[in-house]
Amino acid sequence: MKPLPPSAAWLRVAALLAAVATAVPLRAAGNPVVASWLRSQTNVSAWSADFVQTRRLPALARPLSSPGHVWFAAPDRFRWELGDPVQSIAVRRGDALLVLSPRLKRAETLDLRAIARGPMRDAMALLDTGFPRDAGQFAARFEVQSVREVSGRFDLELRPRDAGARRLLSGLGVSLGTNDFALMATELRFADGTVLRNDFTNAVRNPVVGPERFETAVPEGYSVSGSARTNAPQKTPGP
Amino acid sequence: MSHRRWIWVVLAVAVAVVGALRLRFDVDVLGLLPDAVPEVRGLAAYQRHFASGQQLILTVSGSDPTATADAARDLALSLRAHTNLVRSAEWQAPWLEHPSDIPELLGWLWLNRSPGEFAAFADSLSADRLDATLAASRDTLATSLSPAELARVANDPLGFARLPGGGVPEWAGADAGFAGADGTFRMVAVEPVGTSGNYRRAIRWLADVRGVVGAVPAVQSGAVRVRYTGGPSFAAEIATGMEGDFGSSVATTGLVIAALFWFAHRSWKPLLRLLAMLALTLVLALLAGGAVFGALNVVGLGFAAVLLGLVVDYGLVTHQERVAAPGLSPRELRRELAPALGWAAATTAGTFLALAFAGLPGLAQLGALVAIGIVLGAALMLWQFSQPLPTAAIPAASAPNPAPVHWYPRAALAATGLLFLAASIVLAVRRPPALDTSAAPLRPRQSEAYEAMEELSRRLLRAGDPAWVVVSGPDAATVASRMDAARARLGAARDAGIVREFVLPTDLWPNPGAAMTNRGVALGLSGRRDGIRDAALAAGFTTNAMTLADAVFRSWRREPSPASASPWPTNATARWITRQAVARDGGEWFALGMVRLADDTPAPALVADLARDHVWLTGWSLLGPALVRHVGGRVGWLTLGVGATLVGCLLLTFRRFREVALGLSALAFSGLLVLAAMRVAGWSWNLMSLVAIPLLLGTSVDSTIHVMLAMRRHAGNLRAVWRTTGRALLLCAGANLAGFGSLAFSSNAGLASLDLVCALGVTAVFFVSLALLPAWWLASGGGDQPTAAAPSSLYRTAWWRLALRLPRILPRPLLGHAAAAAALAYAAIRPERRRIVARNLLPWCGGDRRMAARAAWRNFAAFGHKLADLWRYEAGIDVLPLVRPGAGWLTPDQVRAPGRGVLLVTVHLGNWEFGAPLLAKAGWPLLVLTAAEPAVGLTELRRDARARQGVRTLVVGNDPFAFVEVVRWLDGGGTVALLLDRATSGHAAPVSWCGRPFLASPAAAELARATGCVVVPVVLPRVGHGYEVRMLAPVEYDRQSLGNRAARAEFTGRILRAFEPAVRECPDQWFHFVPAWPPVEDGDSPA
Repeated sequence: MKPLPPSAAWLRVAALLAAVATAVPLRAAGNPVVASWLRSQTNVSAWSADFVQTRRLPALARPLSSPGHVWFAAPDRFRWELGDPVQSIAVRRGDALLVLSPRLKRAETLDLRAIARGPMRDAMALLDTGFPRDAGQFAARFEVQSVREVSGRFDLELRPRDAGARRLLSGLGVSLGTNDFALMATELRFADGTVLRNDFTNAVRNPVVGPERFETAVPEGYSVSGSARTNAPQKTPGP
Repeated sequence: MSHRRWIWVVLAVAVAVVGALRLRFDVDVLGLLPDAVPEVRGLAAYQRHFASGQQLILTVSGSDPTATADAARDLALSLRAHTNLVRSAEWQAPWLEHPSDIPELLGWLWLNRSPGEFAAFADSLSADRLDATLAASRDTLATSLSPAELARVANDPLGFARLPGGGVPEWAGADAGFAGADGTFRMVAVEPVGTSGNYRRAIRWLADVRGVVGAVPAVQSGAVRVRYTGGPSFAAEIATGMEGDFGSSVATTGLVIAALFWFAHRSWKPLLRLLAMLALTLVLALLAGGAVFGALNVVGLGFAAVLLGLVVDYGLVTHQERVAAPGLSPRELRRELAPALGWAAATTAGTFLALAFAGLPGLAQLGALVAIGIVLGAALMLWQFSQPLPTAAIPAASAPNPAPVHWYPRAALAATGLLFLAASIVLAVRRPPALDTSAAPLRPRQSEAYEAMEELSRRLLRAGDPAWVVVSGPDAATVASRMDAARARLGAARDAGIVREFVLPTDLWPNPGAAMTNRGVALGLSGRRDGIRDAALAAGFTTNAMTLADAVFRSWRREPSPASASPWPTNATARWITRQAVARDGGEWFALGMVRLADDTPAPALVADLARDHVWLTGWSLLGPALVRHVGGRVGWLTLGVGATLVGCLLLTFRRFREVALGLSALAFSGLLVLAAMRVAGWSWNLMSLVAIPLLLGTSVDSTIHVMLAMRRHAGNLRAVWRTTGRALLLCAGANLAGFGSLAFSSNAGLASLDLVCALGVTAVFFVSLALLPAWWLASGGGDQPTAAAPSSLYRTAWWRLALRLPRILPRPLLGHAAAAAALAYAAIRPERRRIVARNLLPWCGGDRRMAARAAWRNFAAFGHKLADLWRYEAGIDVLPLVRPGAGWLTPDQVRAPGRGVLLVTVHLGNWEFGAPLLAKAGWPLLVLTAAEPAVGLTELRRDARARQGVRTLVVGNDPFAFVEVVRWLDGGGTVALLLDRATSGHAAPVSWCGRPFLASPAAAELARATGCVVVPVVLPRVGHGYEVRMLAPVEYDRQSLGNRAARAEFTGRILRAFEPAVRECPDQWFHFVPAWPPVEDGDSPA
């Protein structure tokens, strides 16, 4: 048995959320598809869509699918709702990430400032950018493996530039509409064989999204566990 | 060698041998601290018993996360290969390397849960509910956005890792603090082999580990930076620092002392003897310390330099005295100096011993070592430097007293005002130095280990340093119940907002009763493992998801451990985890938890509350404030005690409010300067430097006393004071400064701060005492005050009046003995007065100091009897029955020549006043010449008393026409009596008496020249219970030849020499309590 390392688990979630990072800023020089896609994102300040998330896990014989809805607002806000009725919610505003489990009344918090770089940050970079704001920085993290046109869509194959990140996150796929470069699907492939795919429908560009969608305060009655590793065995901080 | 000496030698050798056998160095910082403080006990238990307190921690930092992780892994693998050095080396959580260990631990955890909890878990796997459990897990995998939950459920759909209340799964969910968030900073935890018990071994071990680490390619290439911290690193660093401190401070102090001594004496042999005695003192004190304490700690070892700086004083003083009195035998010199050195050593040693009450064992050890060394050193120095000097080493007679410095008082007072103003402004504007309540003074000052630990804390423990909870007990059950009680208390504290969060290792604690009950249920579940597996596969899970469950079931089927074996699972991961939170030492059990206090503020009430149940809430951040609370009050009381002793010392020494106030003012002013200087330098008080206050008070009062006594001795002549006492004080202060100052560079921050403050204090006290205090003394009328060179302060009108009543109350024998006893008591408490008398008598004792010293005691006793009789006389009681004519008695007719008066000349021998009534009765018309008495009204009081006995007194000095009246009286055939052996100031005849220069009164020769009178020497020694008037042969002279001063001086000398046999016969009745012989520079000393 090989349990999934905790950091890999984070990567998985990060990548899962990243699937809606509708604009991967591929500055990959000279690639006309990437360049056109980047140009198309410049006027996107908000975005929302329905999606179906499909998870293929080594622990499961069959993939699991769940419906959900996502909202995004530039530059760094999003909200994911997964399940019907909603089973899980992930909200990001700035450097605060809140994961809620309404059924169990549980909340997890994460301070994104603590992740300066490394595999987790590479994955989270997909979220940071949303619609591209810093293409150079993003290009420094990912390289474009291939761009193919299949059945009215462009399939982009990406992979992390950092070798350490690749140990956990082996590759990413992004599908875009050929006519308007709208995000159609994302797929993340992990080194342990886990695959997370999101297929988007009913996407709306620049909808009006109220700020309450991105509220990161923990709702009343939830038990909270933070990202601080308070239970880990520690070192003595003195002689 | 006498029998008693042999006993001492054997005893000393025995102590030295025991000391050498027991002596070792304790590098544990907590050994410096009081065990009575709960925070200290807890921290000591944590350091001693838990793995993380004993691990070497390597911090690995690089620019690339992957390279950093690879380097950390390579480091761990390289170290593991050296099994002679390393028991284990972990670079990541052990369960990541040994995931197969986790099921056994989970199985054990479930077995030790409460039967109710385990039954509920078993129920979730029952045939009825198993499908629902699996479905819930599948839903979670489909919808959860929680990384920890995804990781757990994917591998554990049955929920074995979902222990109630958290526990190991939460630990496993983190990276156990092995890596920073960005992956560029990691740690490797190394458990050493064979470093305990010997600090040198720890140093060698660390060097070996550094060698292994240095050979790792990533380290060699500089791709990553490795730093060392943790227990062994601190131990090696502190031990190296201790050795360095000891060596460098001793060497520095020794060099400074040698330089100062050479500067002062320019003599090799005494210098080498001094250094040899210092080295011997140090070795003996070290061995004695070893015998008493066994282990010497980092602060205690700092005694060496302080001791050298203090002990050298005794060598300097004894050497100075030896130079001043080369004729004395070693025994005589020792007898002379022993009281002064003994008291000085006792008070200084006492002050250092008082550090035992400061509440810090480290400082108490330093104080005791210094005290032992001071006593040993004083004895050694006295013995060695009392030996005779080679002739070449005896310096030539020094120059006479120099002229006073007239500009000095005004300049010094102006400097005082300016300094006071400047210091006050500094303290008013910038406030006095603050009190640092942190534990920083306990830590090394320049420390790679500490810097690495700070970086580790900053980059791995992002929420700041936690506090620890150590629960102890004699058995596991007691610890468990104490943990339960602590949980309740900490829960209440969390509700009250004192505690932010806490974790106790209750999940990791064995519960034998529950395990017994749960085993049956567990075996039941194990028996159904195939069915459970089938259900999981049917629910869509793969065999991957069942790996954990299968392993747990297998662990339950294994036989339980025998009772004597470890109650915990024994695989590597379980051992690693339990070592973090559970420890056993002999019969004692320990559990370690963690607490985060709200705002990281100390909670003394909570600490005390928990400590009552053997639960220690501790942490480095809590230690400082706790120690300051512990030490602060004690230092306050200690300072009060030392201050009271100090005031007592000053009172006993000076007996005058003015000089006591001056001494205290000097100390207070020094304190003001120290505070201002500390503020300017940006220093603060801390729990170690606070102790400098009583220490400085105790060791600095000497300087003020020496300076004011020297001012008295030299009648306010500052240049003379500087040349004698000032020079000695400079040497002593320089040595003390070297002693304290050399530790200013100590590797221990607390010791360095303590010694910096002490060095600053010594400098301030020295400056104030020598540069300012003399001016204050002069300005406050010190020059007018009686000194040892003036009559006693007891010779006052009021006292004299009171004394004149005593003869009416007490019979003569009783009054005589009482007065003698009082005089002896006075001699005992005023040794300087006794020494003056002894010096006065020295020529009459043939230069035999011992004889002179004994004669001085007899002299005081005889003076008491003399006073008693004098009071009877002046009280109007007839004393004639006590006085009888003795040898050479002459009637007036036998002496008188026509037209010539008679001049009866005497010295301060016996009871000279008693001659007057007898002579008056015998028909001598007597006029007594006397000097004005030192107190207002006393002259008149005594004049009237003589008048009542028919004796006329003429006070010379006040009336310019007195001499004319005396001449007229003699010309008229009258008789005049006067004392010859004390000259008035500015009017003295230099003569030779008893083979020594002497300043006599020229009055007899003047009167002889003026009147041609007959000069008859008379003495009135006490013989038996009475007095005998002995008239010596008249001293012939040629009146014409007395025209010049030299001739009159020669005549005066002849008269005086006529008294020599009488004085030599009974020197104990020659009453001179001020220096009788002209001063000879003999080197004042601050002994």
